Amino acid sequence: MAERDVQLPRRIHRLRTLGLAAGALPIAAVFYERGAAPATWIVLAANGFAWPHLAWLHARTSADPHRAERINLMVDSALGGLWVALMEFSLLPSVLLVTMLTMDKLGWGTRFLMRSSAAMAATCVATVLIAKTHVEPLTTMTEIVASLPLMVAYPIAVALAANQSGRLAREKRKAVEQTAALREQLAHIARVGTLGEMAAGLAHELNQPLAAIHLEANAALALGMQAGWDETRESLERISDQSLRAGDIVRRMRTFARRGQTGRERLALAPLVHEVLALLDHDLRHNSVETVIDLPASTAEVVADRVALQQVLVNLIRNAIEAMSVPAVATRRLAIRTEAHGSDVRVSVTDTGGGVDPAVRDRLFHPFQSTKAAGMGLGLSICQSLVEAHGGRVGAGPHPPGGALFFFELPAATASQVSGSQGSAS
Amino acid sequence: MNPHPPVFVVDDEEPVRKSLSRLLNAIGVPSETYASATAFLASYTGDRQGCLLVDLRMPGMSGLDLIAELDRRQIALPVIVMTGHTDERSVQRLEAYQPLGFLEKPFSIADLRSLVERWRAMLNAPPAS
Repeated sequence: MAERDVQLPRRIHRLRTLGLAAGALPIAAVFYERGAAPATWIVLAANGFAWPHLAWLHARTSADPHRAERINLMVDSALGGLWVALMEFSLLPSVLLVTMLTMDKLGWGTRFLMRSSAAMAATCVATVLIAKTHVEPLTTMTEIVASLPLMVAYPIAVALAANQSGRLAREKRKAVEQTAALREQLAHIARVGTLGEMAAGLAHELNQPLAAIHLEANAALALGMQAGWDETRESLERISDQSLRAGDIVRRMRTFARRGQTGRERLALAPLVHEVLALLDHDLRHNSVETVIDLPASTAEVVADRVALQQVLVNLIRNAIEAMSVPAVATRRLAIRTEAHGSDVRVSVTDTGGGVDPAVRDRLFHPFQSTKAAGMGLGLSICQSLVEAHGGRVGAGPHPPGGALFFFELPAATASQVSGSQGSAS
Repeated sequence: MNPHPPVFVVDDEEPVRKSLSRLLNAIGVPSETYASATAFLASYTGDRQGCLLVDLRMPGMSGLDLIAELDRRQIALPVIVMTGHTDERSVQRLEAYQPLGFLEKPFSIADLRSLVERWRAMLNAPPAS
């Protein structure tokens, strides 16, 4: 972090070294033409050749290089005002100086530009009042010639620096995009792996409506002519309901297994949680886990990728189920809660299992940390990277008396955030 | 004439339970349904005739647990076990209890009917003691 923050002061240092050396030249020419006190010459030399390095040292050693650089830039402007007045407002060098100093501040926001301009004007007026300088704007040929290096070299250097920082920004953006693509690929592989682990349960889950459909159709056939319309209609209705249910199971699996981001959209958490619980219904029932759901409507909207959020929840809930599915755990209660946490929404998943081993607590979200015999140890680290990609954070802790708490926080959707592109589910 | 002894349907899945009950009704056999093994054990006293039609996979007490418990209580109830295709190991363990038969889901009405017929035949001609 600190390493990256010094990049900007370093670029400014190079520009300042060049700009002040080139800027001292027309000022020196004015003093040469019109005469100046020895002390003024010393201050000019110090400003032109020592100050850039002092400013760099200040920024480099500061705890907040960015802030230090703002102070340096203000000093630049204030000194600029001093020199404009001492040059008796010789037109070309003064205009050049003011223009270059203004150019330096363009990237720092309007307020900073106004403040630095005010500092420049203040020192300028103060110098006029204290030193009683004349106003003699007519620029001599010598002064014009001495202004040329500043006029030519400095804008070129600024343009080069801007070009370089633009390239760096493009490279950084590209790297961020690649990271996002890699994260999505890894998340997809993990989802497919999770589905593989859930396959037996899901097959059983799918078999239930199929069995019911089959039995119902058989019942209708066996009842045949002897049954009335009502009996037959009841069978047909049940067949219809159960085939929809089977379709829902397949749809959930397909959504979960799909590749690629579905895009950020405004999501209500409550239906999402219910969807995930339906996906894990068999695991929950098979392990006799009681589910407590507390999702107050007021805290329940975020802007997120639907599948990514499902994956985080599936991971946390499956971990909770696994923690409780040992014979020693008598009470098996899974609780899913949402609550407002500042401007964030916190979703917590608690269990009544054996809790987190203190030995691994600090490394819970690190990749390849697994306490499971068959685990790769990627589940929680993927959860973390997915949540952080949404600008949120994950955490864990104990859930008294013995269980574990895992949570994630995401920025709550604000009123102005409307639902984005709705990814088609098929 | 005594009422026909019922089939006790034990399955955690409500749609399956209901369909089985209707199906049994269609082939002329009364049934009682239970949502779990514990619910069945709570109401069954062991002195009633009938046939147990139980799902192997259930949350909490499984079909296997229920059959083992009945055996421990020395209740000799004819049992038909419904299984999924992933239950081979449990099926092997079940063999020790000599169930009347297995039905792998989804099963046809003919399979169910033939097992029910076998049970009825046993009712009519109890094995010589």
